[in-house]
Amino acid sequence: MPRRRIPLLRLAWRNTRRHMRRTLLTVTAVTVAVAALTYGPAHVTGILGDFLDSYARTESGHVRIRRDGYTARERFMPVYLNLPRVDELVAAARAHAGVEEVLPRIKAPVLVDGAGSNRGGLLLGLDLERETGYLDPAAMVAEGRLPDPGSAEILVGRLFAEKLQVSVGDTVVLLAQTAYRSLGGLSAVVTGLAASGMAQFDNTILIAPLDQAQELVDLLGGSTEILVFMDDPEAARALARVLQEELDPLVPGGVEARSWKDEGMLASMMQVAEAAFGVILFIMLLMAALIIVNTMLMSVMERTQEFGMQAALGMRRGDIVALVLAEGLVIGMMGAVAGGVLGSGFALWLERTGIDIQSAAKAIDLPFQGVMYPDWQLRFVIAAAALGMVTAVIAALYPAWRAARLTPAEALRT
Amino acid sequence: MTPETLPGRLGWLATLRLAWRNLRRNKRRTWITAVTVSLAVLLLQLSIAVMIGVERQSYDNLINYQTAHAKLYAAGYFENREELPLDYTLTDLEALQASVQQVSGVAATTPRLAFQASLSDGVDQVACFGTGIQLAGSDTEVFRIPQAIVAGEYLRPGEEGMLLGSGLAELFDAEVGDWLTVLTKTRDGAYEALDLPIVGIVGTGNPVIDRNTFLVSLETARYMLDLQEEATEVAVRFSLGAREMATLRALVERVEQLGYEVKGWREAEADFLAFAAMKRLGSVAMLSIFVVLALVGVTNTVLMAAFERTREVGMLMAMGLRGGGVRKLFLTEGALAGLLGGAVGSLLALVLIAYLASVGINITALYGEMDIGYPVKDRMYAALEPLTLVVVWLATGLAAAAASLYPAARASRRPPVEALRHA
Amino acid sequence: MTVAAKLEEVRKIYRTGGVEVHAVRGVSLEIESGAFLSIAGPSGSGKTTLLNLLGALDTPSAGTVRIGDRTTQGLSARTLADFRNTHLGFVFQTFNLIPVLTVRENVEFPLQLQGVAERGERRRRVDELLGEVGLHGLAERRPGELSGGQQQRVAIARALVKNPTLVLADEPTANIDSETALEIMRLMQQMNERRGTTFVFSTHDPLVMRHATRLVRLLDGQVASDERQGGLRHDT
Repeated sequence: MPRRRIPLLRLAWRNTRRHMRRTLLTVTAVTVAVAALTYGPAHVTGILGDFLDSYARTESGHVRIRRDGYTARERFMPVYLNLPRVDELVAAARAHAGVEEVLPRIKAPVLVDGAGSNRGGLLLGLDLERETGYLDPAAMVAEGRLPDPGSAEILVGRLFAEKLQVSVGDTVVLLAQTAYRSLGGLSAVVTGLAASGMAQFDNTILIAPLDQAQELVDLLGGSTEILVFMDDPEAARALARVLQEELDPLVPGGVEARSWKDEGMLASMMQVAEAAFGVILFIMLLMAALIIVNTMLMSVMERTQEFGMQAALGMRRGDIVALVLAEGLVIGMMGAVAGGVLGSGFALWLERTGIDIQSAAKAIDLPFQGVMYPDWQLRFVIAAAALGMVTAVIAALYPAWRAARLTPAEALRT
Repeated sequence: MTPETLPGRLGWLATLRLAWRNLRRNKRRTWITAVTVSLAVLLLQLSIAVMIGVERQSYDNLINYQTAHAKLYAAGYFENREELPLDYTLTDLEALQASVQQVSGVAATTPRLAFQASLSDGVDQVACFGTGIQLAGSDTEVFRIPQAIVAGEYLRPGEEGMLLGSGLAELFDAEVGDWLTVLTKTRDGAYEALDLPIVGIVGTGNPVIDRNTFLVSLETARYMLDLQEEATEVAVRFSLGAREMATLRALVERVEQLGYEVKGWREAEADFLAFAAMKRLGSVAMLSIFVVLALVGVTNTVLMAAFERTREVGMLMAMGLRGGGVRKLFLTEGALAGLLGGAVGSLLALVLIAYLASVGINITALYGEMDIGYPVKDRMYAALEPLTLVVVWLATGLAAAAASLYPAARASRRPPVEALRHA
Repeated sequence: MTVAAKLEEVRKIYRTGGVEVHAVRGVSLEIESGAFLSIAGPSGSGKTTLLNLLGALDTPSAGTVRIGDRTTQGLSARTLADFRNTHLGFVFQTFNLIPVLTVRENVEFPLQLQGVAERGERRRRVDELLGEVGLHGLAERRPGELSGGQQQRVAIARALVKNPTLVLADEPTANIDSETALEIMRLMQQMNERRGTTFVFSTHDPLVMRHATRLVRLLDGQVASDERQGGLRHDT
């Protein structure tokens, strides 16, 4: 028996073109859904990605190693919970595959005496050269220059400097609790002002070379934390476990190694975002599907005679089902293409212009920069388009079944 | 002349009847459309109710625990308020309060003294905000701190002790009865330290209070800061039912000439309002996609209905129905489909909202300890507002009618000769 | 003799896909009040176009169409609609009743459109007519529940309910069996005689033509013949 060839897609394409307006309107439903599903992940990934990236660079690293018990007292920034002989730990962490950079940091609350007024701030002791591309102090210098390692120099947040009424060239005195809970002091020259774009940061920050911070808090060769950055941030959890085992015996009192994925706030933020997106996705596709069902039912009912005719010509039930499903697919494809283009266009446009949330970002206590950008990725479009097409075909099932149920005689009679 | 008597037009009742019967003609299509619309309306109603609920809860929280309805400051304070400076204090408190009290709409006033401080348990130290409150009567008439006491009790007049924010208590792992050292800096720059027992723990849901603030008596605060009969602000509560803006304006008029500044809570919390507005905007953007989908569904349905009934429309026009009548017929049909879907969605929403309004959403379970941006404690509750539900429902009908404009216009523009020829 | 309608040198040209179709080419015709006139001719001879012109559903490309004392030229769609509403009744081959309305509501519909506000008045006229066409028992039925002949009776009642100057019937018997067709013709004749309503109907059924008192034959959009005849009667 010769192989049967039915030009399904061509027939389907021509059929959908019969009522172009109706088809286009139905396609619009798929288009809207696919566009939203293309843009949605770009938006969420954009905010989250941007946020995670800046959070990792400025705060958590991909794995953060601290003295055991530090996390619970994090808000105090206790310098007495520290990591001595940090070079050994850094070297050990650096030896692991997939580790891109390992950076020791000192974080200490300090009291700063400027020109007549004093106020509390946050001192970061950094390996200034290595921090390029991470906390990136060099990129923050709005005026003056970075401090030189080995000299008592300091970079001050611009807003902070304003409040202290100091400028480049002035000398400030820092007071801090040392690793031994005594009071330490350091007199340093302001070599530059830092502007990160995050008000909270610029309001409190002081950046000193690591050695100067070590001197201030009496922690020679040590730091309060070590940040590990990885080529693949997704592998952070595994590395954290390994480092926990490996470094724990090296530090009296033990260490805690936590991956950025276990920062409670981030984890719950992502969970909520994902759950919400799932619900939105489902309802959106359901609505698009219902619209398709409606249109295709009408189109099938209109063509009762035609189906009867085709059945009389020897088209089987399966063929009719396939034909109607193919029409669903055509509608889905058109919507997928249009929606993919529309959603991508919107995402890419916003990627260039950015979304200004400056005024609102101030109210929430997170390191958001004033402008957020969606992060368009090809896989979002592909996933959204695929979902749109699958939905359209699923929606076509019922009309297809209705069409196939008609017997030729019945169909021709009507 | 009633509309019924105009020639060439179909009265509203007759139009409604015809539209309704036509909807019933293809029940399956009508229901599918209605379900599409109902999904969008369900989401819309639910989001609006949760949004209104959480915003209202937030505003109440801010007013009850942090901002009052308005605050009076000495000139120059507000601009520098983030620093909690001691350089702009109010002195003639009793006269000022008495004067403010006379403004209509003002229910109560109380002086407060806000200052920067550090708390220490001897091991760790953290910077935070201290607030001196007047215990003899007046603070509780403006603020609702006693309602937020989660352990211990409120300060008694003359009592030397502190009410500690729940977040700070957790941080220090401190309980009622424990002592903490308060470190302050006087206006002249001298440092003072004072040990105080924790009398009560305050949990408001407002991170500014819970995580950063402790409260002491005004006298204790003045003692620590070496101040006289001074305060940094006079907080004002408006009477129930007072018109907020009008009261605020009257307040401004009363005290501005005396050289004081008055700031309503909306101005003081402009950042929060901007945040809430952005949240709202984000939700609107998201919801509008669902609305568009629902409207596409309605347009599609009416387009199909108009197409199916082309000949019928031709006959109506042959009998003398004007184009406007044909439009009205299809607009009504679309509106009815929208109202039907809207009713289903709104009823479902009503059930869910009623649940969320009484039981609430456990935000701690959802977000953990994360600051979600709204000062809301433990649970957020949806606002059950029948009027809003009805307005949104009716708006659905209107939007559905708007979505039917195009197919209705198409149907009405078709010449009757052509429509009658239609197979 | 009063004139119900008058055509003078009427032409109608359609353009479909760039091709000009001369559907009616210079027809002049005077239809006296109370006539029972049949327009006959093969398909494509211009019957339907002519009826559409007479029914103010369409306006001529050239020449004038006068119905009662008004010409249809240059009237807006809205004015034409109002004009049809007050002066004309239609009966179609496919009945074209509104399926969601009952028989009574269908007949009542033109009265509502005409602005007859008083419900009792509308009711009275509808019931009277339903009685005349022999349908009073079926007033609450929907069109779908009726036979073709019954549906056409409803259509006739609907056309007559507002006492139009002219009733136009386009192949009114084409979709029903010949016996029922005769009944419909008889009904139309009765209405013509009893009410004096002018009827113009198109047909290509010779049996139907014989009922007319005047027979106009069209060929290629022109009047081929115009004869008065006795008009076949079936007396029961």
